[in-house]
Order: sequence, then structure tokens, then C-alpha cells
Amino acid sequence: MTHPLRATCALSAEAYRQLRLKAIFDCGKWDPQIGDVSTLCPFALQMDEATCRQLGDWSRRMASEVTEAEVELLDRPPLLGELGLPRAVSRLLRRRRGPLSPAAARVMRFDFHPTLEGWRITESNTDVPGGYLEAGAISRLMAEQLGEGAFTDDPADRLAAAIGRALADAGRSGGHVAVLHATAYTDDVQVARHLAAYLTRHGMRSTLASPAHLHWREGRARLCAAVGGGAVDLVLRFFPGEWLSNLPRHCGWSQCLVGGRTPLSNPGWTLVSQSKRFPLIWPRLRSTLPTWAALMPETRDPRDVPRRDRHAWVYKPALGRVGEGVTVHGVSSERQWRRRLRKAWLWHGAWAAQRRLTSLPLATPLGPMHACIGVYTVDGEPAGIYGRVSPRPLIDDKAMDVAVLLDRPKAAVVPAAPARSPGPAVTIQERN
Amino acid sequence: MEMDGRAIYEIWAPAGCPWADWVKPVLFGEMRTMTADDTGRPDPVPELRLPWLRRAKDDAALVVNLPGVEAMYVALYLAQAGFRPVPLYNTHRATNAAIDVDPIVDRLFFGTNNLRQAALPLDAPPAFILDAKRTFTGQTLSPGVFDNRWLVFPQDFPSASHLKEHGRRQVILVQRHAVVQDDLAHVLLRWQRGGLGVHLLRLGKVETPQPLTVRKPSFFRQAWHRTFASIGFRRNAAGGFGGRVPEPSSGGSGFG
Repeated sequence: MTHPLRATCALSAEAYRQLRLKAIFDCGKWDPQIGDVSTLCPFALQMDEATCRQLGDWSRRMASEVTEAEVELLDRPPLLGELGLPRAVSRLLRRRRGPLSPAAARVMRFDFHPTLEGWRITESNTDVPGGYLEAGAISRLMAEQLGEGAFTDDPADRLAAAIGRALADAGRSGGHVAVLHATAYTDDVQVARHLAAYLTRHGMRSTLASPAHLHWREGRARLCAAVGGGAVDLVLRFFPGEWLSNLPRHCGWSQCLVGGRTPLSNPGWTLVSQSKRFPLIWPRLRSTLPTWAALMPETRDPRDVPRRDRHAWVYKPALGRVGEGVTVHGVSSERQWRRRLRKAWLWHGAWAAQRRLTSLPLATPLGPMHACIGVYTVDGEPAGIYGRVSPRPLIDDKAMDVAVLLDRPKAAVVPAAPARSPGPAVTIQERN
Repeated sequence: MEMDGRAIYEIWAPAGCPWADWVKPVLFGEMRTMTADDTGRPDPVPELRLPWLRRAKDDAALVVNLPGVEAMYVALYLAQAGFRPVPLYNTHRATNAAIDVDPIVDRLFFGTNNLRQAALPLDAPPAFILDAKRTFTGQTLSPGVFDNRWLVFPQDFPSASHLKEHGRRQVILVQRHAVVQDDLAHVLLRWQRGGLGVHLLRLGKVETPQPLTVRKPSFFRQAWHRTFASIGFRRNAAGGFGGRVPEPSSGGSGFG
């Protein structure tokens, strides 16, 4: 079987050092080192245009399917209780009296893996996807440094453009956007600043803020006086939905989900599809998610996995991020495996079990690596790629960020394929 | 010759130095350009009596955990003594911030001159530099203060294996207090379990490092320790971690 991806040669040590410095000082990446791992990959991955279009097409379909499913799910309170959401969030959504807070410029990311069974997704990031810096500015740097392969698309630029359009449609061109983030973490601050820079480029005014900076008055968001005050026309949320309920109630965090009138990218109710337990309720929805079902491995409640088959499943916290808590037999340590398996069984309502896939490693200058290709969509259209590689078949915080480029000479950005009605899935063409 | 933040960073994290990758770049990105007037003005270095330093250079890594700018002054002293300072400040500037990082930025800026004068070999042993006031614990944030507190995590440091590969067999924590802050305890315990000796030197209290047995902190090795740390902060701060504490006079129904 031919691997659908190819690794380029690695940069020389000096070229890599220069890339790292540019990533830090030109692109604003402040976390190029995690433990002993340098997170910037010294080589890039390349894929052909057909593969890129296929992944984009699947992502477009999945974005459409999940949007429809969310609408139905949010109107069926009993199902919301099965997703493993934080208690306060679950209660708020199940008992809501007001309308859901409006969405604008909806952004998602679907994480694909090349496997023996073909391309598969193991999760989606429909709440607060990350990787903007790496997918955009740094991948562009890598393409320039390598001199081969073409940069695809910049998700931060596409998101900012979409926000600009949303404001223009609402008669608020050049409006004020609050970029909500966890100010204590510099790795989140760097992303917030990056997004703010793109908003400025697209003619909008932005303020970096924590959720605690917002006042909500009759559903309209305003910034508190100490941060400059003023009405906010849109909230760009780079703050995980499951953290919102940890904030003091007087912050008005609930209005990021219910009752707010200021549009959000993304509103907090997108947590419902972010949950790894989301597939468990599909059979009970009227909406169908055929592309999701075809690409995502079977998902069960951990207690529904027969004991004899435990090793054939991966156990994940319902709302884990960056591979946190993901437990794979033979990859996680024996101690971690036993401890987390016990947790997954005891607190099964906050965990999900996913049938294990066989990741297809590819040869790289650093030895065999497992790849994860995250495809963004903005308002349902493909909008860039965030790549990660790991020597283990588990993409966690120790994975390296890798540029994913198109397999052709440097040229213009590949235009996004026009939207078309759903049709039969096209299988990937094998590379010669 | 003018030097921007990137050039200054390259002096603190020179190519070929085994510790360079851990120097936190955030504050260097927020520096002004160093001009000819700034060069040749090394910072004054404190007079310290640390007779154990010479022996420690052979096989120790240091962790300097002192409040505010004091850590930087000790760092510059250690540079003179042959240790390479590795600043780990993982915070950023803000107006009216809980942690005033401007003096630290100034010391990093002017300390560049000290570092150049020290002409340390690339493989000089490391001294990881922290602000002991980073978590601002036990104090109430005043209204209007911007909360830019921060924590350290094991992934901010090299592993025990990496330290041992570069000849470090022990770690000496240099601080004023006997109690080890919880976030740092996670780091030290991992090193201890990785086979490194851990010692404590209470600056101004004792003259030689003493063996330290690090107690297991809360949620040790929990994958979500990092998330929990943020949750804990959010519950403690009146305005939420990272947020401004509301001013009583500003009104606003959003704050109840």
C-alpha cells in the first residue's frame, strides 16, 4: 500500500535554527519546546492535490452534517446529559429558557490519519480548534525555506475574513472583536495575538480579553472599563468551552452559550459535538452523519466494551484535548493503562471507547512517524491544514508540528473547491 | 551595533548550547532594540558567598527560584561564576499587571552585556531562572489589576535523562524559603524519580546545599494537572484567572 503522504528532506541544522528563530520572532510562536522535544518539525509532509481535495471534500460534508445534528441535539435535552459535559454546562443547555447564543464564522478542524483501512478521523475539534500559527504562518515559512511544495491556506486569515463578512452582513463593518483567551497561558496568548493581527489586517478592531473582562447586559457583550470598555460586536473565543463553567458566575459565562445576543465564533454550545461521546447518540438522532460514520471508528461507552476485547479499543476522556488522557494499550505505560481503564469504567459517563485503528507510519528523516492531518473548515469550507507527527501512534502534546504542503512546485494557493451537493464518497487515489 | 529582541535572545540562547532550546522567548519578543548607548553597560552584580559553587559546576544544575528581579541579579552572578542562566519566564507584559515583569525585562536586556562579558563556554552548566512570585499566592488581587500569573510545568524543563546525558547528576534549588512551591515540586519530584539528587540551598540562611526529599504534590503526574492548575486559579481569583478584578465603582450588572 502506498502511503498518501511523503516526507521532504530535513532542513540543515543551521536552516532549522533560522526557521525556529523566525517562528518565534516573526510569527510569534513562543512554545517551540515541550520537555525534550522541539515541536517544530525539520521537514514537511507533502500530499498531492487529489488527496488534498478529498480531505477537503470530506471535511466540508462533515461540517455540514454536524451543524445539522447540533441543531437537533440541542433541542433534545435528554440526549445532552449523555455527552459527559461539565455539569453546569449540561444543566444550562438542558434547562435553557432563552435562545442559544448566535454563531458567526463557525470554525472546526477534522483530524485525519492515514491507516491500513484508509483515511480515518479519530476526532473533530468543533469547539476551539488550535494550530493556527503552525498551519498558517509557520507552514508558509517552511515552504519558503524548503523551496519545494506549495503552501495551501491560512486558517487564521480565512477566519478573520469570515468574521469581517459576518460583521459587514450585520451592518458593522470594521467592528470591534473581543478575542477571548486564557491569559495565564502564553501558548494561548500567542494564538490570541496572532488572530488579533489578522483581524486588524482585515480592517477590524480587536481587544485581547479573558472571559472575566466581559460584561453582559441584556445579552450584549461589553468590555469592562479597565480593559478599555466599549461595546463588542463579536466574540472570537479561543477559550475551551469546558473551562467556561469554572469561571465565577458573575462573569456571565453562560451567555457564551445561552441568552447572548452578541455573535460568537464559536458559541459555547459547540461543546456538544466536541465531546468524544457525540457518536454514541447518533443512532437516536433523526439527522444522519454518513461521512462521519464512514470515517470515524466505532465508538462505545467504555462499559459496553467486552472485557476480552479491551486491548482493541482506545479510551478517551469525553472532553480531553491534545491527546490528554488518551489510553492505548501497548503505547501508554502499563500503569497508565490500568489506572485510566479503571477510571473509564468507573466514570464511564465522562469517557468514550473508540475502536483502535492501525496507523500507517511513513518514512521520514527522523525515522518512521505517524501523521495527523487536521483540516480546518470556516463556515463549512476547507480553510487550511495543521499537521502533526509522532514516533508513536498517539498524537499528544509531545507530537511535532509539521507543515503540510502540496506536492508541486511553489505556485499560487490552491483555490478552495466550490461547494457542491453531497455525492458518493470518492476513494483516495493511490500514489504511483 | 543595534540588537533587537531576537539578537538579544541569541546571546541568552546561543547556537550549540545544550540548554538554549529551553530559554523562554516571550519576554525577548517584547524588548526594545538595544542601541550603542545600551551596550557596555553591564548590570551591577551582587556580592554573594557561595563557596559550594565551584564543586557544583562539576555535576549540578541549578534552579534559582527568587522573587522578582532578585533572581536575575543572582543569575548574573552565577554567569560570572561559570553557570549559564536559562531564563524560564513564561509570562508577558500587560498594563497594571499582577506580576510586574518590566524590571525583569530590563535585567534580561542589560544583563546581555554581563553575559557577553562572561564569555561562557557553550557547555557551561545551567542555572534555570524563575520568579518565585509567579503565582502570587496568598494575596488578593486589587481591583483593576491584570492577572498575568503563571506556573511552571515539567515540560518547561529538560528531563532527568537529558540532564544526565550532559553530566548533571544533581539539581540544587536556590531559594529563600524551606517550602517548595507546588508547581516546582512536580518538576523536582520527576527529576528525583529520574535518578537525580535534589538539594536545597536557602539563600541567606545556610551556606551549603542540603539534601531535599520532595514530597509528592497534589495530582502528581495527572495528565490534567495543567488544566486543574488553571481551574484552581480561576476559583481563587475574584475576576477569574487572567481577568481584571472588577473595580467597585465601575458598576456594570455583568459583575453582579
